[in-house]
Amino acid sequence: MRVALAIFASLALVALVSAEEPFAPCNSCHDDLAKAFASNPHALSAEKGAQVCQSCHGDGSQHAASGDPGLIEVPKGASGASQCLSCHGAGEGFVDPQGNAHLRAAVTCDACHTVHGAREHELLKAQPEQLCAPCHRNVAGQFRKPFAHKLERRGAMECVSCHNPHGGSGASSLKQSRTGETVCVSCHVDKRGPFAFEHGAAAVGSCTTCHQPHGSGNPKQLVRAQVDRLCLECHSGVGNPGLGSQPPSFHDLRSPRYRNCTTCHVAIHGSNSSPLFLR
Amino acid sequence: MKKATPLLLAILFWACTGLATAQEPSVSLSLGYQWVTVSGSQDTYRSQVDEDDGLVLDQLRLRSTDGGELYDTLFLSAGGFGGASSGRLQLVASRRGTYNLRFGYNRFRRVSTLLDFANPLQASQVFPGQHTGDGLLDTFDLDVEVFPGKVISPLFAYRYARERSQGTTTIHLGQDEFLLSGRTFSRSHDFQAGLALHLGFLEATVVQGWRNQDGEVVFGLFPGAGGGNNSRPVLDRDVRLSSYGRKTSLDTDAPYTTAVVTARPWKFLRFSGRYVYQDPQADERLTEQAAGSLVSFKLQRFFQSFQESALAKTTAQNWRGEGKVELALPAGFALTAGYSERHRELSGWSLVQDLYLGAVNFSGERGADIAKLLAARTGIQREDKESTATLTSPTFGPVSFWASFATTDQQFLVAPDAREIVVPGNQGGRFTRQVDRWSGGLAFKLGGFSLGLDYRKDEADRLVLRTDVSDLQRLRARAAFRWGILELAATGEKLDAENNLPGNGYDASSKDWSAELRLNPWEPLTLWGSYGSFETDSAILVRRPETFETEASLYREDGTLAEAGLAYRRGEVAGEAGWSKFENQGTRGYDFSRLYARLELPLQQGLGLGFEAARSKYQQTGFSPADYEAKRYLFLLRYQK
Repeated sequence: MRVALAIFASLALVALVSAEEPFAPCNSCHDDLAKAFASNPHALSAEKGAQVCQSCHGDGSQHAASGDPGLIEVPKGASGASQCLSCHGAGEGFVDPQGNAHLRAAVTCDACHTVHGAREHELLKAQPEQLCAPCHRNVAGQFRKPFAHKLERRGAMECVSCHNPHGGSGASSLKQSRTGETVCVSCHVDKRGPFAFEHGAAAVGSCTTCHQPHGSGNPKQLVRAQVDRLCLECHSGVGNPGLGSQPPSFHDLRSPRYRNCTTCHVAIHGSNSSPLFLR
Repeated sequence: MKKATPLLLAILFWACTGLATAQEPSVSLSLGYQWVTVSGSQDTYRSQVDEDDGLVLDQLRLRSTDGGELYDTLFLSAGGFGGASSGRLQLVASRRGTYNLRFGYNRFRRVSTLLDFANPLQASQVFPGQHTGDGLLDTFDLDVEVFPGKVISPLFAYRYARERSQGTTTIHLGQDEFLLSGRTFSRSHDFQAGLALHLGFLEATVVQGWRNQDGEVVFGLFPGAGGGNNSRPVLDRDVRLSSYGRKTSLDTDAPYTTAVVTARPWKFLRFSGRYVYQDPQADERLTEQAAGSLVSFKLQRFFQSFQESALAKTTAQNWRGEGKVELALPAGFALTAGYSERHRELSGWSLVQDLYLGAVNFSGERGADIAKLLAARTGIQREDKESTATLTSPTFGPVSFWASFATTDQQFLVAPDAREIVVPGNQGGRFTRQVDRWSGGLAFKLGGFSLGLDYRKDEADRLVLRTDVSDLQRLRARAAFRWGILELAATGEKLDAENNLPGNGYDASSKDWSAELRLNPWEPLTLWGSYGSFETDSAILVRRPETFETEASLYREDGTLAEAGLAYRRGEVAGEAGWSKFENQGTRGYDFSRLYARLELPLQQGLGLGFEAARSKYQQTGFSPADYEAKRYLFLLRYQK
């Protein structure tokens, strides 16, 4: 009986293939999935006459014959990721199979994407920040601080504005600007320079030398609450001083004028006319 | 903007033309009006949250397939424009074998009117501080790939960014600081054209880009600010300004080239490489005039007016190259080895001419006017070379692991102009630093339980900035458990960093953890609550400039974040409510709480109503002028098809 069913199913499969029905014979049982899948990017990008379901689920004739869910390949987990990567594993913007922090931590494609029935773009299960937050709770918490990049539901920013979850080339899977610079200058264009007189903290460090990128309790998302403390931590000629000069002694920190360094050193990111960043 | 608006309209028109022929596009639109009331500090509210009265586009989502000859798929989403502080529009469309198109428009309102930050007049209750800004940043992005999937496909891209801002700043002149008001404008055009090569085993793209950025900054004396910040006389004379004007014009050209290649000649070997070269050149002109009663200790003169003109030219040629080999080993192991190198060479030249007119010496003798000329040349060269190797295991039952080693060599050559040096020392020279990093991780997944651990240790041989670390250790853990209606997730991180060189004494540590419980007792209903704690401490020795005494600069964050909420959705009826409270007892203590509720109700034939209410409350420890409580009410009309 099983052999007869298998032969029947195989014949049916051949017949349907020749009829160029992309979801046959699966749609005879999974009609709802097939209808929904017709507008799926995978179906739309399939070659004419291709058997769409089989490209991921393999030969389903035995499953079709018996109805046994164990006889159909359902891509998931690490093996599912390998299957996705056979198409999505090459080229700019795609996944680095080994260099990817998510895959290394066993967070595979199906953690964020759903091939069937995604409501979001890029076949995402939910909006990017809702997907990132459950695992990156401490980072999500930083966006709740008073001074933060806004990741509100209507906001213009999302986690993937700066990070490439598929594995960017830099630390923390950070994206680069088109010109290979830090992603910050893609929006903060006025801080990009180049400046004839460039602040050393940016030239030999990075934006995060002084700023907390996600959010901070300190204004300007700075890493310190007081301006003079932030500056003096580098600008102190004591111990092993590194790069950063000691301010002259007229900077009397008992006076609020001098405790607020940027009252005078206004162009702290860089200047083209003032070596001391005064304008 | 004049160039970008027709582009935006053309793209929307094109999308609409397609929609006319498309079969039943799915549309979701939510549009409304919001009211915002703020009690307390408007300035702090605008700097932190910045919602406003007015129309709000809550959400527009449109998905369409089969747009005739125009597209196979089209997805349009937008939200946030109007009273919200930022908005986004995205359009993604494609037609198989013909094109892929992505378009994005973002608008950010950036307001900074801070009360107690960099405010030398805080003790006199002068709020907000003297550095304020109220600006709009607009960005447009367009990426088009023609004939995707063909062996060769052309690529085109354009990005436009524009920022307009008005605000206040200060100028340090003649032994005092003066409040200025003015405007800034900057815009950037970025064009790209290139080719992508798709050969299956080899994927490559080569792109040539041209970026141009120009801008103008204009400032004048703020009305009534001629007295300056210092009300006391200097050498028995009042320092004051009667007029001031400054204009700066900037023009930057930056051609760049990007090449990316991924090759998989055999199944077990994958190679990827990337190279970016950029050669930016910036030109700036500045003119400045000031008149009043001013003093210069440096010139040992009183003077009545000041003129400055500056001409600057800066180049910052830079390139970055990286290559990576991924090798599949027997038994499912994989080895990745990578090398990257980054080089930047900044060369700055600035000619600054200062003219001090009406000068008298400190004893009152009329002297000649003084002209000073600065022709400064500066240079900064930076080189980073990084080698990495990572071994990844296959899954052994529920377990997989990885281990990695990276070493980074950094070299900096800083050549400041002599004029930059006020107190000799530590402003130039050659600096080198090597950082070795070991890291590893483990993942465990069994049924509904998953656990991830990763550890990192950095060791550096020396520092370049005083806050660079010589030793860093970080441990992270994540766990999740799902059982029936219950989901539990927790994360934790512990970080210790130090640079205990004599006289430096840098020591920092942070610990944070959070846990979330989510319950789904009935399909339409979800309840959640989370609690987290964070603790950050850092200390480093600093030297006070006025006494040369050494003291510790301490910084502390110590607080908790609690959140709870519920969501209900059944058919067209949906509701959501949430509460969060952030408390920090650290150096800058505050309580920040938020409460919100949202309700969506159907009317008929896809039409519905929505209502949203939110409250934000901020209280800063020991500084009540910054506190505020803001309430926001939003009524929405919803349409769905």
